[in-house]
Amino acid sequence: MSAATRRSKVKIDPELRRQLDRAAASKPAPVEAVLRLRPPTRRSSRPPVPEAAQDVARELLARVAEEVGAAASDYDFNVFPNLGYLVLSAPAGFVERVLHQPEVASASANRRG
Amino acid sequence: MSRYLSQEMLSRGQARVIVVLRAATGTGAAASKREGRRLGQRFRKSGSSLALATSLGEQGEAYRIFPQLGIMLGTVDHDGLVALRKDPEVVSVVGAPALSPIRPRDVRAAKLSSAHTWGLERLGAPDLWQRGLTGKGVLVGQLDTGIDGEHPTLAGAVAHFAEFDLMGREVTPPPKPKDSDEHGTHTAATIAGRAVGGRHVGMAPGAKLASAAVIEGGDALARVLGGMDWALGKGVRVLSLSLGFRGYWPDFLAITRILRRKGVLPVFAVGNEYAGSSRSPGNYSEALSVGACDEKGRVADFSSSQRFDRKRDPIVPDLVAPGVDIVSAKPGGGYQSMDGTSMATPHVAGLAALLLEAKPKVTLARLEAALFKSCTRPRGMAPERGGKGIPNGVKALEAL
Repeated sequence: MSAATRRSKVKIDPELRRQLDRAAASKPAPVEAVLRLRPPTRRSSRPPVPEAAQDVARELLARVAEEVGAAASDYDFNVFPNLGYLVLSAPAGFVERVLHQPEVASASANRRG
Repeated sequence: MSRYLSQEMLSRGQARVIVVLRAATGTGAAASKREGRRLGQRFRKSGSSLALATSLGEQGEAYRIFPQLGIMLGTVDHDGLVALRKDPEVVSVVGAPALSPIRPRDVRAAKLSSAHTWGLERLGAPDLWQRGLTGKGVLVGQLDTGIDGEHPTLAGAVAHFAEFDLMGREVTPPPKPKDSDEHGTHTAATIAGRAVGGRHVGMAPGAKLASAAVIEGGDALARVLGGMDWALGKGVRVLSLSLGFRGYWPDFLAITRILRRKGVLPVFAVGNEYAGSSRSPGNYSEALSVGACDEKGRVADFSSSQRFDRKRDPIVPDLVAPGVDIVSAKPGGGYQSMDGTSMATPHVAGLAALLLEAKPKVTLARLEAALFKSCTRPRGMAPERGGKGIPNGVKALEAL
């Protein structure tokens, strides 16, 4: 599956898109995004089980960090294992790359305004 | 500058903001109380023009410091905003426009003069108590401004309390149950307040609360998510939310579905912005959406209602409950009366707790169906405003 195809399947909240574009165009300030993890199977609508959500999030972020050459101190995150969500604070480029990962179902801005 | 800040500065000359202090960044380290006080003093002395407006702090200041979260919440004018943004102790200043407790339309001093409030009577709570149901064994989640755990009516009601930072992390060490406002104490006591001197304000006086402070001090989605995730982990069966974003925002839609799949009844307020309006997540078809009625069974004029272009559950609210002149606990002791759908919502959450005690294994669909079946619409109440009407505890129990 191409990155473009995967990208089209991730629902991105317009406010997050605005914050990402603004951050990319100016100083590299962190962007905070709330991400919903994709259910483990295509037919399932349930979130990953709590332990799996932690693992999925850690693996996903470690993979992206390696891809973009980021250190663990470059980003901050918190997993909501019972809900299958995570919140990520990272530079816009890092967040953009995370949005393109197949584990991510949708994304919203953590803060509005 | 964000749209919200620009709009507020242009129209009002001031805006409500969250100031993220340097001590709050990093890996969740919180500013100490001392640091918070020090920063507060600095801002006072610096002459930065923090405009006196709403949300006054403890000493009548125009801002409030949340030392454990490492943030300040306040109202600034343009010069104050510029000064704060230049301050080396400040990481960012962001607008605080959207997510908020659904503010009461009116707040009045009140005494508790009867054995139980009119709202409890109207929903048939005393009749269910007579049948031995008090909500015992049921844990109700309540995400709000916090809770005064020292209030006599809440003594023994709070099983768990937590506060969350802007990244949705639980603040440690866990603070004692406290209210950053007065909204949370009022709603909590309506759910599970214990009788004091034989007088009741709580629907389910045997239920326990898992209460979290997630608003007032940083309107971040992750704070509410942190609270929801925590409440799920604690095993709540009902989640009472008297907060929301104005309009329709899908941020909580998937989460509301998750709550349902996990067997948690999401009881959410619809809002106080009159007909033709609503708030998310109270306006999702997946939520049990609650509007407000008065003692005469009329839908309160402020109570939001809206029709959506969707097949399932097109009208919000689903039902209405007592939300006018509701007497409940006031932080620091005593009682006060408030009006709002925020007051109606905990009535329904408490009623659900009573029913869950009666049938702990009932499915959400059946529980909701029983509540709906028990509803009646008084003469003159239009479905577009009052949904299915006002529920009744005894009828709901029979339909369970």
